[in-house]
Amino acid sequence: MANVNITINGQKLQAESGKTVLEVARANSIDIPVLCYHPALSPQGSCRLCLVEVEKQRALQPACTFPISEGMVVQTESEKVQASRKFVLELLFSERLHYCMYCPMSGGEALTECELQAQAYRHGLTNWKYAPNTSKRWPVDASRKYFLMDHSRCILCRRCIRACDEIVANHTLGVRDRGTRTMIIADGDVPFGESSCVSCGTCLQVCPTGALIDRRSAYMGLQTEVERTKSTCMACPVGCGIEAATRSNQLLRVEGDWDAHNGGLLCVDGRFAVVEPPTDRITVPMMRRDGELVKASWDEAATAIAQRLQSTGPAAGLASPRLPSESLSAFRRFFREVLGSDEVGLLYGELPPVDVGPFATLPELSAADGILLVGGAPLRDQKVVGYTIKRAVDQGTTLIVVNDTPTDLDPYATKSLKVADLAQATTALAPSERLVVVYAPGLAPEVYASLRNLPAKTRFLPLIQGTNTAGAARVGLTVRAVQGAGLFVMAGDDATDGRSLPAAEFTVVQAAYRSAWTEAADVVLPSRTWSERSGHIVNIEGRELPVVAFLEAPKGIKTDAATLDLLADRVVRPMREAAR
Amino acid sequence: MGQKIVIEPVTRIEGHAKVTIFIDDEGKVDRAIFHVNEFRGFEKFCEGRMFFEMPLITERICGICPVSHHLAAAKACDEIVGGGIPRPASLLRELMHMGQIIQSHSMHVFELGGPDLLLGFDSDPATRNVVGLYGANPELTVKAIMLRKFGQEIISRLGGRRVHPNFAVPGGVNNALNPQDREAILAQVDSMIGYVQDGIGVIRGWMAANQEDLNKFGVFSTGYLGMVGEDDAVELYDGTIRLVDQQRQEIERFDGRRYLEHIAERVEPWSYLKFPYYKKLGWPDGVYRVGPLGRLNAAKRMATPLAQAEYELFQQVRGGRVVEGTLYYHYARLIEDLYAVEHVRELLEDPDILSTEIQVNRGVVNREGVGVIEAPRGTLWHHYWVNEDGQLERVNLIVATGNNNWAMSKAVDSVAKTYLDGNHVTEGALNRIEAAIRAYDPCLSCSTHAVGQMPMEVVVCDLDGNEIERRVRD
Amino acid sequence: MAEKVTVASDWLCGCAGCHMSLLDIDERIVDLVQLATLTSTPITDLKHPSKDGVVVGILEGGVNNSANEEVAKTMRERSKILIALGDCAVFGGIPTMRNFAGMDEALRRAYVETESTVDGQVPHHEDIAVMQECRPLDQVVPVDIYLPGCPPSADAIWFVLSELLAGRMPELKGKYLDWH
Repeated sequence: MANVNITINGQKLQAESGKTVLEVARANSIDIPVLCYHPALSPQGSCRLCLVEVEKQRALQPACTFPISEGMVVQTESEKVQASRKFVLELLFSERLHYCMYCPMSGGEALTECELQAQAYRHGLTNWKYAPNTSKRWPVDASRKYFLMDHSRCILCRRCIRACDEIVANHTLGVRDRGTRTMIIADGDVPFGESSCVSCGTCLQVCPTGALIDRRSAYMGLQTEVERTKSTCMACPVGCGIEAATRSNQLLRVEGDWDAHNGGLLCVDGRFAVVEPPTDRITVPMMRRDGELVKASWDEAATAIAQRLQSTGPAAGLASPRLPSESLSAFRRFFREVLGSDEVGLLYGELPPVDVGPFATLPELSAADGILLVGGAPLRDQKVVGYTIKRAVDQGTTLIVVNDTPTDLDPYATKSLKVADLAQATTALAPSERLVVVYAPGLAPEVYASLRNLPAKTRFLPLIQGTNTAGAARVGLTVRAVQGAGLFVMAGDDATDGRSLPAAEFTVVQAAYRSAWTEAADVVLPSRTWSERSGHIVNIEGRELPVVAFLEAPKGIKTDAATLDLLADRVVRPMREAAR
Repeated sequence: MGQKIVIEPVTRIEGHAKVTIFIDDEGKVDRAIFHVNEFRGFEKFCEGRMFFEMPLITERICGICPVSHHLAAAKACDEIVGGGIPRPASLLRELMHMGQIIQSHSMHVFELGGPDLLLGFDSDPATRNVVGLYGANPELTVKAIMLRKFGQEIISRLGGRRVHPNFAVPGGVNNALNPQDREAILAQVDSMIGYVQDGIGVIRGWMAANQEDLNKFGVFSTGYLGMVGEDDAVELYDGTIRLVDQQRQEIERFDGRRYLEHIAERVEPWSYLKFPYYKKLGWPDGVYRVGPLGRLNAAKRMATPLAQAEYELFQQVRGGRVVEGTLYYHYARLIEDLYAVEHVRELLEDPDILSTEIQVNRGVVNREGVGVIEAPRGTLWHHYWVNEDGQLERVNLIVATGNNNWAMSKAVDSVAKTYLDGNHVTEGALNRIEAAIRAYDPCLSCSTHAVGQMPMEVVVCDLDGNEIERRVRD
Repeated sequence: MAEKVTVASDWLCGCAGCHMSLLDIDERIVDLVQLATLTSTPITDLKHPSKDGVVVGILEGGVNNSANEEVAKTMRERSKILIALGDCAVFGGIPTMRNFAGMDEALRRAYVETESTVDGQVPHHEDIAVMQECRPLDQVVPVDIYLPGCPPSADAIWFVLSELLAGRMPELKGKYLDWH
């Protein structure tokens, strides 16, 4: 890429040809105000706030779309430019009704989360030059479960539309009408809650004003009042990078980390469902006395568990794949080294062979020119993978779906073939420079054999089931039938989902929430939840990702390691005492 | 020839009021009417908004008592999300509420109502205000300012700002109390108690020297309504509504959320403020007073020791019977102020006050919610109906001061008849009529869910509207 | 000794919160009255700004009836510098929500339809004001200084007054410029 010389505000700069004036300015810490521009979206140039003076151009030009050229001279702070910015803002405020007083995004200069308000402060606006029409009512669409839209605060920047198109590739949002009647709509102008919206929340994350508002976190605190912690989502094995916003030990909001492999994209499970945890939290150990589960101390419970696990004979253990690798490893070690048992496994999960070829990353999936999807239902089970495939197809990628039953990605595929015709698919995709194969567990061995034979530059993305099934496998825990007279289930914050446990004489369940399993157990131990635990998981890219606790567990709920240490001590202690 | 005197605006109150006085041919006051002259329309324009916005929208009904609306709105929203808010959240809301009671009552007694008592009804209007009070008694005025500041700072420590805070949310509050804030507030409680007691001393001194006025200034019978707590102590945040008659007999006790079964509102064409009354007794027999005097009459005790000691002295005014004189509102107000400061200490010493269990997080569970609270000026109701998405379908508000509407009108009429000679209108007499209104500490923005103000000129006209005399307060 | 700067204030269609924020200058009021004379305000007993005029006039609240209009015009006539105090005066504020809800609908809801109202009627009498559409102050009179906020902070109000008392026109920015 050739280097181009330009001057901004008298400063001589060099940049790659093809860049825009805004990109070059940002790379050199020159601040040009923007509203419709967002670094994760294609530039549009519609708000006109980023207009700058470019020598020899007849009119001011939008920096976000204007490409640099050799010798270009740009002024970003001239009087003409500043007057233009103020005018743009005054016109924006004259449309609709931008009332800040009760908007959840509003705040003082250092506090505001509204980009429109921030620009008003920056440009010293103390009033509106052109009063808006207050007689017109703007609708509030509250039909979506997790977030809503107040059209009076919309500035028609269309970031939401671009996000819906370009990041999640769902194409739900659009506009109707023109001029002052323009409105953001869903599908054919139906309530958002009845549309094809998948509640991924990307539009919410990019909206610059209070037009899109998240219900749970509204009025719970502004940017400077909340703590933000980067962590990894535990809803599925994609392990999207997230930022959790918390205040007073409450989770308020989950946002996608723009810098992580998911590029800021999340799905409804990871962004919204997690903010509404189940109730019925277990906070203390419980033991069964006279048929009833009653509160017990850790000491009592641990001693009882140790005694019974040893006396009832060989013990079995099942762990949830939602646990970080450290917890799973400790669980495995407890059984092997303390109880001398190999009867341990995962409660559920599916892991296809992960040695068919080098792992792909999500960005590589997005940039693939050919995608082969064998089995699975990513739009349902690993949603961000599904969205990424759709996005790639939008950009011209050839998608071939190989599945014996119809999938919801069929409409986007160039071809849909049965598994028996896998060879046709691989042939059709042979010209690909950057082929990514997305494949499910539970396929016939020949299928995996064929995949192994693909060219060396092919990358692979296994559609694992169970958040940390891959990490579990690395520490020797797999899904298998286990049997023992005593059963220790480390369920974590997992849901039972109607699964049943193998029968045992004595059952211990360590869980965060009450369920059919805890109600039938002999001893129940409290557990931390994913938000209260630190550790690592291995995701579908085969990478180890950090899970960082961002909430404090209720007092008295031990970590997994501490729990197992306590149990180990209670098992070992009588043996030590006997040995003295 | 009959005359009509108009007092417009009434000053040293919150909001817009106007008094029209009709003088008969002999120069005697025939009747006086209290009009409230503004309207905004919260009950209509909130339709379509989200229920969880109401604590922030409705607090803009009033800038003196936004916390009352903020908390009443949150309580109505609590019902919508299925109730059961954690105890620490209730304590924190109550703490903010006490802050509000302290700032509002202190400001009113010293800065709004006080100048009439402490400088005199007939003193020079140019200095009959807080600045004049500062000139006459700078120490007392500074104490009043510090009391108001103490209350305002409790509000801003919890809700981020003094006026229109952001704190209470459906299901709880959005922020736990941090230990430094707790220490800072606690450290001031003793001196604040001292200041209120100084104020009580001053008012008691005034009462001792003005017995004649006390006994003829707006003295009339009504019922008395207020929230009570355990053992029928005055309760300001969460309790049962108790209504007593002029013999101090209990005639009703109800859960405030079922107010529609007991309270109705009447409309008169000459005022934008409606007239709430007790349905079973009908209009106008069912009128009652709220606010400090109403609450102290409707209750049997105060829940904190120093306030209780003052309450016992207050009871002695009429030997345990209801205290009916309008000017006693100022005394009752300071007793509540004292209770509020004492209660701040109790709340801060509660073991749950620093807890982070401050909110239950749920969506819409019930389609309807009622929030009741005792605002500084009286019982306040917020009633919301929402659709399944949580958008407001209907809003009904009965706001504190409105409950006193009949009483204010009666007080104006009574004081006009007692003190005004139509043949010789004095500024002091007109000021007394305003002082009758001021004693109720009306919040007319609240009560009409609206605000406005107008300059004042006293114009004496004949019944044909021809001007006879003009007195301008300038 | 410099002559004290005369100040008058009033409130229109607002909630009194901006005046409360003014009182939130707390003890600084003692300093204020050294440099300024508070003449007619809602918390003093003088009802109109003096016909001789004041230096600084302050109006809180938007304009929503003919009486508000008169007050606004009088204050403008009699003030050298007029301050629009708070979001209602500057932008129109929350009361303007009534404009899109509809005046007649709002009156009917409040005085006839509400669940607690018995035998309701919309108030209408020669002695009470007739309502109008609610609008910001500068749609009725020219304004010299806009001080937005709901309410503006006591520090912002103190800053503006201090600047004026020192003979300067205040420039609002940073923590003093707050529309919230």
